[in-house]
Amino acid sequence: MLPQFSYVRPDTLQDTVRHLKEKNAAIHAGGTDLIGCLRDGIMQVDKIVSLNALSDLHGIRETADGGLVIGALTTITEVAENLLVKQKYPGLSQGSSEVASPQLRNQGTIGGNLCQKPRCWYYRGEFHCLRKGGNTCYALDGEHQFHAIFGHDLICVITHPSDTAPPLAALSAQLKISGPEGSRTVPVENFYLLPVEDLETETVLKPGEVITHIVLPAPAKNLRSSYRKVRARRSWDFALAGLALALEIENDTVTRGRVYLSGAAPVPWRSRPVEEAITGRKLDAATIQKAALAVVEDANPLPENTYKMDLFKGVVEEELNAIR
Amino acid sequence: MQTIDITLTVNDQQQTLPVKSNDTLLEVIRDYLDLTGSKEGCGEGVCGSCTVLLDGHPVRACLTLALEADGCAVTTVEGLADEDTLSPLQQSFIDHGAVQCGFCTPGMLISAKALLDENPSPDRQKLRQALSGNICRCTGYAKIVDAVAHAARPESGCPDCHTKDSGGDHD
Amino acid sequence: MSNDRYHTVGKSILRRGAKERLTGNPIFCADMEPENALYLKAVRSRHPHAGILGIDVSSAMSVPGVVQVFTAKDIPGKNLMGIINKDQPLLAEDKVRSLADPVALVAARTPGAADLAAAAVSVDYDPLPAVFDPEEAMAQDAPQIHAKGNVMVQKKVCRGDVTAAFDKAHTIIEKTYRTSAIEHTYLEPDAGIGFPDEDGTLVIYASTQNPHYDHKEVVSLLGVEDHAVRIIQAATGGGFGSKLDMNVQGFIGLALYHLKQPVRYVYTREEAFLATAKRHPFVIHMKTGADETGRITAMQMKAVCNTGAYGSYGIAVASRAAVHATGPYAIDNVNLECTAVYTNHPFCGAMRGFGTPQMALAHESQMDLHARALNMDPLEIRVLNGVKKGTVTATGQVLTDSVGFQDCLTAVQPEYEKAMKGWLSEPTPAYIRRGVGIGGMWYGIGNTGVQNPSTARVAMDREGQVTLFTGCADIGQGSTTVLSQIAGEALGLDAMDIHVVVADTKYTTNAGATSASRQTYISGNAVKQAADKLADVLLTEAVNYLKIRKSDLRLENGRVFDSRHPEKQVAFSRLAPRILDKGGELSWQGYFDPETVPLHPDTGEGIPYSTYAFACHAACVEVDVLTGETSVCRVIAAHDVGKAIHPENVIGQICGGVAMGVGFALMEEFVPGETISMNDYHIPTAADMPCVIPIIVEASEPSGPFGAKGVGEPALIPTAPAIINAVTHALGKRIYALPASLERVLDASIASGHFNNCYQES
Repeated sequence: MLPQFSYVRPDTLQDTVRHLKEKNAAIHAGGTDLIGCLRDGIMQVDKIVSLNALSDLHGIRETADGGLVIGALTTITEVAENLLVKQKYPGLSQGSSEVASPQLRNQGTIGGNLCQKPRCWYYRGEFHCLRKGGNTCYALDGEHQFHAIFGHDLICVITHPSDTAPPLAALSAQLKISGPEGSRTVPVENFYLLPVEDLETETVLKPGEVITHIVLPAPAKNLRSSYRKVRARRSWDFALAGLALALEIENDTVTRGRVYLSGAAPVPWRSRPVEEAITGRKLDAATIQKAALAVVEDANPLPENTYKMDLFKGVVEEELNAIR
Repeated sequence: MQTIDITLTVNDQQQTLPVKSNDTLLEVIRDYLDLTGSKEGCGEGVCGSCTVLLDGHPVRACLTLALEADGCAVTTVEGLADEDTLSPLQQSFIDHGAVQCGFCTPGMLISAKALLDENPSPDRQKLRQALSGNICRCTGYAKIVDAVAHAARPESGCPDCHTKDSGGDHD
Repeated sequence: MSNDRYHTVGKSILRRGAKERLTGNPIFCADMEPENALYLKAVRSRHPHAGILGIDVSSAMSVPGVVQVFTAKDIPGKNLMGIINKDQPLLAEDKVRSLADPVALVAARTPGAADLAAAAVSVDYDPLPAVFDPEEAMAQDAPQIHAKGNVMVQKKVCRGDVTAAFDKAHTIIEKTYRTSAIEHTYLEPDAGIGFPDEDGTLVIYASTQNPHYDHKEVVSLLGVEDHAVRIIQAATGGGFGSKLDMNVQGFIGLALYHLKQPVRYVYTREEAFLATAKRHPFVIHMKTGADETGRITAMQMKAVCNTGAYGSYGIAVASRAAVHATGPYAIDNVNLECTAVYTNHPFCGAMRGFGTPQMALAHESQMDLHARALNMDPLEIRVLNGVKKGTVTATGQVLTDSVGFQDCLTAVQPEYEKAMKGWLSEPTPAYIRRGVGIGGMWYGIGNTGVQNPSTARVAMDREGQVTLFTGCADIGQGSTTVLSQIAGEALGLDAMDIHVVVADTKYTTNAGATSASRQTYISGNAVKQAADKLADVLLTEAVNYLKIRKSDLRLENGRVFDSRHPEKQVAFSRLAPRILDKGGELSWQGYFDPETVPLHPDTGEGIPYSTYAFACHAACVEVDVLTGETSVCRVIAAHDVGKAIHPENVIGQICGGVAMGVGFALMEEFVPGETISMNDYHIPTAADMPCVIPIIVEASEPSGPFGAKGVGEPALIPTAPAIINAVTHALGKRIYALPASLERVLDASIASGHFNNCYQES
């Protein structure tokens, strides 16, 4: 039985923003994370604001310059199966098809996937951890084998659970956000907050704000993208390690590369060391090997998750080989 | 708590129901409509026992607010048979011994129906992927996959059919 | 497999109950909602180990909608439960021994009120030091969980002279194996409803594997007469051993006793995870010695298993583990010991295999290690050592009949060789390595060295309609169908023409638990005996009617006929009234208890089971040496079941067992406090499953109904060892702890050098 709340489904974005400004108002897109959070008691929600009457926020269309605009309410399945996405941004298609399970992909939206709450078992359990206003990160001294090796600063060691955020960040996607103060655009790579920056929230969304669209720039002619997810089972699980690549390759040489890791840090983690190791070089065995070593250059693993160092090396090795 | 009227077309029958804002679709189906085929196995969208079709798409009823389903068509397992005649998919489950404890069965049927409605001849890989969101602990999935594969291609002379007693490969 | 002898046995007839499940009929406890039912909710301990100084229910009682809050003092009978040793209170008295020990029980008009009230019950705890590791719990100064000490039981089996045998051995292998706690994760969370009948009987619908045990336990808790309680098994959505312990039946009984109103208790998945039994985690030290030909001549085994806060089936697990430690191999000199230890871990109990899956990891790994040391093929070493007719087991039992292990090895051989010669060397990406592994097993059918009879009744009414009454709980494995086939075969009837009354303590008699893979063999025999008695009565009357001698008469299709002149016949419907009018009996009871001899407390000598199932699995795996991801591609599973009464059921069990084995091998690990729900606990999905090739081997068991033994648990036991052996084959490095998670496989890949090789070569 879910806790009690009031429910509105506004017809306009304006009304939506107005409702969302209220204290303890929460967005209902697909609802797949929201309902779980309510059940786990990790969100105090007095009002649910459903976006599902906002048909503008649904759908995928090509832009004049050859890019793509994806409505935030587009389901994960729709993103995964869209022909334009498959052709232009295979990494995003792959990332989307790795999310959860078929039914959850039908219900969940890409906007919701980007904004989902952490999956750390202490956070989702009855532990009053830092993110819930307490004083302790229980994972630090507890079971943390699935947790972060970057970006935690030993404050909070969650990994960001989204499989669409890393490819979107690698593909230089931007988020169109509407709120009480109007609209703004935030690149996906700047959307997430590290624990050292903020513990109350994972994103830069202010009260009353909602993602309306995701905008992808026209892909360069020689852009290749991919997403690989490593997990305990072949369905459902969140990533132990994931790699999003968006590389521009000309004459076997990487002219430009963006590399993002999932399952690695509290935010989708940009791996500049890997980018540096491959940019301007041919993807031959020696380069790939260097890049694989580089991925853990600044890593700060915890006692129980050092295996992720080797795991990421292995994933980088495999995926750079696969993409060339 | 205040109730709001919603209209659902459940198994082709239109219903108007007063629901609370915090009712899930699963609670409405089971408790208000007494359609107990859809099950609560975990309440958090993992096990798939609550799977129903919402406007033709398989979703987790336990993670769907009833209010969100307003105006939608819902298909539950009770809507598959035609009076006393089982659907070909259900019959295939019987013929292939795909039912053991039966708790996962309704969810499996719904996911399988959704797959076959969209793709009448899926290969076994696609089949397994489509069912990967429905957990079963009894059968090991083998007979379920056989049953759905056969329902998709009844003319292929499936060696695992009930009328023949051979073992065969189960993949 | 020749099935022409029998008209229904050996045929995969339509499964009883399938249709209701396919159409979503309200047959599970959570589907039943009696009008005005009260909702129950247990209040559970907040400490793993604590004294209880006081319980204050006043705030809880003042929550609107609350009807009553019960504590231990409200239990009218004996507040102690347990399937073997009675050490588990329904509601805690003076202390709690694990998180999730129930302390109080709320009954309220709505689920919301029940939850609020449960949170409002105030318990004054006096926390005590807690211990979670069994080795630590065995230390002198460890916190005492129960008054009689933390070592619950130690089971020993010894034979011959291990010291001398090790002295002479050519190769000695000594290793330590570890397995973790496992959660059954049946799809239907535990649930029950109850209401008082018109005559005051407390009726409880239960999701259970042993309704008659539940009945006894509830009667004892409430201190009432047998007839005052009725347990009916509802459709049960899986159990795998967990639903052998009481789940909500005691709570429902208590509430019914006091309130005399309908009540309902449905566990959430979280509560099912928290409050029910787990598979015992094991630490197994195993030392084996072999001669230069590969014959294993000695085994020394010392195992410690964590039974958690309460005994449950721990004694059975320790017994079975010790008895089965040798695996299906003839080893003359053994010294085997298994200790079950109490800790403040949540209680562990029965789970498919009772300690043998854990043991199988050890004995099958040891076999492979010996094979490698001697450069022998893994299949070859098992053929050499495998039991046969005439083998004497570690408990001194001579295996006389139905010893199909060698047949199982022979059955997997062709596919195994094809995989080794062909599949293994097919081209794969540089970072994928393939491996093939073998796992063997044996499993004694029935409870270890103790009486565990079953009873059944077969009755014919005046119209000639036959009804089978059995207390055997069908939890999805298909026992109701199989038992009706056995009765049908004996009476010449179509199985579907027999009515069945199943698992209702008002009408059925005790068939024992649906566990230990015992129902086909034990209940099957009881049913056959009852049906044979009825058949004999019919034949006797037919002799009188047809004036033909008995040996020429046959039963078929509801009539008795002369085999030489089939037109001479008489229908059951005509015989029945004749028999009844003469004062004859048409209702017959059957009884069967396997012939066992209790095991000697020091040596384990005895006859623990009257028959054993055998099996061999071959697994083909692919390991990604750069990431540790492991795919099980194919499992060939050969099982000696004596006789497959319903081949499709047997195949269903095999495929389900393989799935559980894949989970046990690669991905399942229950960590109390952290594994809260299905989000955290990984069981295989359809996408994780290998292609399964089931092979039914029938080494007929003379004491079994139509030669049948059992397969429910055997299905699971060889899979994980086969997978581990295959992963070892792929990597050249062995993993000694389950699950062989991605992390462990990756470590092994690195240690083996394959990670670096691949990484540098590509």
